[in-house]
Parts: sequence; structure tokens; C-alpha cells
Amino acid sequence: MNYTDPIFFVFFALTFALYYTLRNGRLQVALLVLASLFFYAWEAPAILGVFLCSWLITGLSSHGVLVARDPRRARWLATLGVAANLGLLAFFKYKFLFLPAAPAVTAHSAHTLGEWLLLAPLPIGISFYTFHGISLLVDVYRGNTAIARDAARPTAHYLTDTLLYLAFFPQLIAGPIIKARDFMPQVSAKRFADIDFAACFRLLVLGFFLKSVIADNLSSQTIWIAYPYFQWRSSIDLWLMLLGYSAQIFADFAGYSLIAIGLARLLGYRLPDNFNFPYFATSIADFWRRWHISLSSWLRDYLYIPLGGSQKGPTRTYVNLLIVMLLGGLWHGAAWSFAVWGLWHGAGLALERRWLGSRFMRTSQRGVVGLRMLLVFAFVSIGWLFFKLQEFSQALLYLRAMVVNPASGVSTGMALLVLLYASAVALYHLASLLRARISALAKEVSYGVMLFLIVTSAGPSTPFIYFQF
Amino acid sequence: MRIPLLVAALLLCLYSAFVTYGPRPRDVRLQSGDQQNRHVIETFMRDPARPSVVLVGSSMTERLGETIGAGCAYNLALGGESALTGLAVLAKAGATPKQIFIEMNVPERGVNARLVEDGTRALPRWIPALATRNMPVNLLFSALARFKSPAPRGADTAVLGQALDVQRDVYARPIPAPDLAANIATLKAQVQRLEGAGSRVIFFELPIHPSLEGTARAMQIRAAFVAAFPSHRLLTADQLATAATISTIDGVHLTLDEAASVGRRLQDWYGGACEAPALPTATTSHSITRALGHG
Repeated sequence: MNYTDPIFFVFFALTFALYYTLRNGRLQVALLVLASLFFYAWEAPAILGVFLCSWLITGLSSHGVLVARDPRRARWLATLGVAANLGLLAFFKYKFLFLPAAPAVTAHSAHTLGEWLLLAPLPIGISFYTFHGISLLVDVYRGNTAIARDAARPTAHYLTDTLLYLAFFPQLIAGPIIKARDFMPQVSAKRFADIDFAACFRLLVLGFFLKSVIADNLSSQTIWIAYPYFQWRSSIDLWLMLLGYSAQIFADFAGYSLIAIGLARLLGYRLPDNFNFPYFATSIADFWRRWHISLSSWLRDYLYIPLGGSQKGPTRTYVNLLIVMLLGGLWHGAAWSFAVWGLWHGAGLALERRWLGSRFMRTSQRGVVGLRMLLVFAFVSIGWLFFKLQEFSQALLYLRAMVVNPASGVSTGMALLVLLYASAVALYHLASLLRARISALAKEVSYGVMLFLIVTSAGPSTPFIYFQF
Repeated sequence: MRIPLLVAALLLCLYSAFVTYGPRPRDVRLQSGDQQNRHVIETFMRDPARPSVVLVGSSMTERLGETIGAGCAYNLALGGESALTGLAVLAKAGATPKQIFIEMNVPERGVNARLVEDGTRALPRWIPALATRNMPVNLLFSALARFKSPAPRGADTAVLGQALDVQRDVYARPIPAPDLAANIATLKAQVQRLEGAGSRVIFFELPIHPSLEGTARAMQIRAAFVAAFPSHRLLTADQLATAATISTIDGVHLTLDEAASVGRRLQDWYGGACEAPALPTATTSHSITRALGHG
């Protein structure tokens, strides 16, 4: 179920109405769990079993950790839970690397459970709910006080809350990844009177505008970044399309995140911000503090710091950065291009680290800051190519064609549309600088204009890019 | 929250007045293949009972566009889709034209229910501001871009050969039998419904590059149609081809000149169905470029 599908609006309206007629917090949790499972099972009911397995593993092992008196037992259970989650993710995500390209039978025609497991498609959102599961296990193991209170509660309540944490439908498919220590304390009775409708409205309008008007319309132009068709385009066209894709992926994912945050707030839950005007980043490290913040902070807290972070000398720091970004890349999908994308950023972070103290990186002179922004944007945009073209050789071919391609000229229509929609993304970034100077009325009017454009100018409804992960 | 809602409502009223009474570009440019499809369906839905002949198919038939539209026929071919989606539109509209020409070339594609739903919405008929062709960006785009969507220039023969290689790869592999059987079953049901309502159904196969003719997929498709519709007229590629050599841009999409010739051949089969005056076409310049990769 896509957030832009009419059926989703019906589903959400019904859930919302019923949710606030229930006064009992436990009943509200139960309703949200049921609604979330229904939402998840809507597209592929068979895959629900995989999700429930993940929940059982996470819920039972984390509860075991929570009530364990022996630290060794707690450590053993936490390790087992994390390993099981990683195993599940690795199996479903990377099995396709070892299967023949076109198997003779499909999951629908599988006769045994083993056959089905081998042929089942990638469960939607598995990358996200396994990371949530690991976050819960690690936070419980570390004795996080916000969750420790759960030890005194009935096991059934704890397991239901855990299920809600993993399944909460606004963030189930593609995040934002919320850490257990931030989510679990929020599980309580919610009141209709506490909803900040104005804030939710703004989040949803901006989110739908970025997704439906900007990203979906740009997707019609960037469709040509596909082999072999990009070779029919001139080098200038290829640069423009890449610019378009940079704007598209931001609008798509930031739009999704804002919608998810807005929906969660309507249900009384706060999800973390996922984007902070990332194309204003003046270094690659800065970019990762602004882009997919919930993933980068998860990687920092649960991978980079446990690996030693930057505390074990420069060489180890570089190696840690490469490892974290490589795994972060592979988390997105079972393709070498994702590994290359991760390494591209890892290498960028490591190389940049040497120069962070230089005058070029530290000066606040506007021209230099602008140049740094441009360099980071170009670096990030080239990286997106490995994201879009998941065959590494095709991405290299595209890069080469950006420099030399037999086709010439500029596709004026495409150029015009890419620049038009990309300028909306630029304007969104620029508006953040002028926030304090823009009057309240101008802000309200701009939301009205966005609403008008959502109604009249939505592009073809395409799935969110991050739904595939 | 009240101000944004008021602003949006006001803008919608003003824009509706503008698209109804204001100046408009003579030739509206659409942004994408999806918009083109929605526009084709929306145009058809404005008066679904009017055309005597309707063609349904993929981007391969879409390329016949202007030639076909000059007669009494409506080209309901949809890029990236197949005849099944066009037939679903006919069913939703309750239309029963005298003759329906069904493209046979890409039966592996099923019905795109979302497109049918989007294209047949009633709102654009009541509120012109919501019609695809009237999107504010399309009007702005049309006013700014007084140009033809450029066909690929300078792409060398090696690159064109790669496009053909992609098609060879596709055509070397048969369509999975269950998928083909399911789509043929849907097609049969649609054909029975249309014939029950008095329409005459004719199947046609558009010519493709000679190197694709004898491939596993091409043979499988022909055999499936012959087996499923033994008593129907099936126009073969040989009957529609005008010369020994077929010119395509990528192996499956005809060049514009070739499409014009094939379209004229196809019109010979309309017979006496054409009695109504000429219909407007829904074709825009966008369909030329999209066919290269989207249809």
C-alpha cells in the first residue's frame, strides 16, 4: 500500500477514527498493531510470516535479556538475537546473488517450505525492521533506562509493544529508523486533543508536494538513465538527467519521510527527522549528518562506535569509515553497485578527513563555502549513478558517456523540465536560510500553493525509491 | 491550516476559469509517457461512443498515431502497456465500437489497473483544470518549449545495434507459459464481451525487425493467438508490411515513415466501419521519444 494510493487514505482514516474512539492505551496499541499488520500484509500476505518470525526472535530474546540476572546469559541472548536478525536479513537480501537469474518455478508454485524460502521475493521493509530489532536488542542489553522499566511489566505487554515498535505502519516500509530507546517510552495512551493538526498538515502537504509533484514528475525524465537508452543522449543530457535524479531521490525520500513523520504525529508518536537540507552540505561528513539521518546515526551508534570509531588512530579510523560505508551500501541491496556506492562515500569520508583542518575546509568565506557545496553536490550526484544503475558496468559506461558520447545537442524539453523541478528542490533548500525572514502569512500561502499543485500537477504515481530496500 | 486551504481553493477556481476561457497554446506538450497515456484515455472518455473503429495495443501501435487518427478510428494504444489495458478502458467506458483492432505483439503485459483507474476518473471531465493536458506545468511547458521533441541525433550504428541486441535478448526467451495463458484468458473474456455487444474483433501483428521474426517469443505469440482465436481474422506482419525490409528504430518500433505506411495498410481493413467524421487525435510529439525506451 503506497501512501499516495486512494486505498491508503481510506485505511488511514478508518484507523485514525477508531484509534481515538478507544480511550484505553492497551487497546490503542492493539489496534495499531492490527492495522500495521494489515498494512504490511496488503501486498504480499505470505511475507507476513517472515516479519512475524523476526518479531518473535527479537521480542523473546530482548525480553530474555531484560529479565536475565546473569550478565553472561544476557550477552548470549543479545548476541543470538542480533545474529538471528542479521541472518534473516542476509538470507532474504543476498540469496539472489547465488540463485539462477530465471528460476524455473516461482514462489507461487513452490511445493515445500524450503523451495518457498528460496524463491520468496525480498520481504518489504526487511532492512528497516531488522535494524529496529537490532536497536532494541542492543539498547536493552546496554541497560537503557528508558526501556528498563519494561522489565516490571507483563511479558504479553512487552511483546505487544515490541511488535508495535517493529510494525508501526508509518515507518514500517522505509523508516525513518527510530531507535528503541526513543520509541518504546512513547508507547502510552494518546488523546485526540493533543494532536497538533497544523504541524501535521504542514508536514503532510510538504511531503506529498515533494513526492507527488517533484519526484514523480522528475521520474518521467530520469527514466532514460537506463541501459542502453542513455547512450542515445548527448553528454549534456546525461549531466542534466543526473542532476534530475539527485533532485528526484531527495524529493522522493525526504517527501516519504515527512509523510511518515506527519502520519505518526497524527497517531501521537514522534519519529526522528531524516533530512536537514543535505544539498547544503559543505563536506561529505556534513552530508551524512544531513542525509538519511536516522540511518547514519544508527550506523554510527551501533557499528562505527563499537568498531572503535575515531579513537584508535588515523589508519583504523579510515578502515572503520570504509567498513561502515561499505556495509551501509550493501544494506541497500544485493548488488555490487551498492557496495561501490558505499565505498565511494567511505573513501570520500576518509580522504576528506585529512583535509578537515585545512583553510579551505574551515573558512567561512561565502565563495569558498559555495564552492565546497558544489563539490560535495557533484561528488554525491556521481555516487547516485551507482544507486540508479545497479549494473556496475553500465554505471561506468554512463560515466564515460558523460564525458564523450557520439550523440550531440540538448533535449530542450527534458532540460526545461529537469531544471524546473530541480529548482523547486533548490528553492526548498534556500527557503531554509530565509526561514526567519519569511512572514507567517507568506508561509501559509506557500502551503496553499503546494496544495494546489498537489491537486493539479501530481506526476505518475510511482513507488517510493526506498520501498525496494 | 485555514489560509492554505483557502489559497488552494482560490487558485483552483482561478485556474479553472483560465483553462476554460483563457488563451491556450495551440499545441499542448505533455511531459511524459504516462501523461500521454492518461491523455489518450481522457480524450477517449470524453465521448467513448463516437469512434467506429478503435485500436488497442502498446507503443508499437501508438506510433501509428497520426495516420490512424485521420480517419474515423481512435488509437487507444498505450505506451508501456498492451492491448489488455486498452480493452479494460473500453470495458470501463462501456463502449462497443463497430470494429476493434487488437495488437498481438506484447501479450506478456497484463492490465495496468492503476492507469485505467487514473485515466477514467470522472473529475477531469467535470473540472477541466484537473485534466492531464491542462496541468499548469504542461501549459507553461508548452508556452516555453516551442519545439519538437528531438529524435536521437548522432547515435551511431553501434548504439542502435545495442538496442536491437536488447530486443534479441528479450525475443530469444519465451514468455512464461502461465503468464501468457492468464493474459490470453483475459483477452478471450474481453473479446467475447465485445462480440456479444455487436463489435467485430480483428487481431493484427505489427512488423518487427527481420532478425526477431523467427525467434522463440515471436513464434510462441503467433501460435498462442492462432490457437486461442482460430475463427478470427489475424492480420499478420507480412500482410501489413509494405516492403521487404522493415525500418525500425530499435527492432520493434517502426520508424515514422514505416509506421505511416503500415498505418495506411491497416486502414484498408476498416471496411465500411468508417461513417463518422474525422476524430481529433490524442497524439503529441512526446510519443516519438518515449517509444525508444518506454513502450
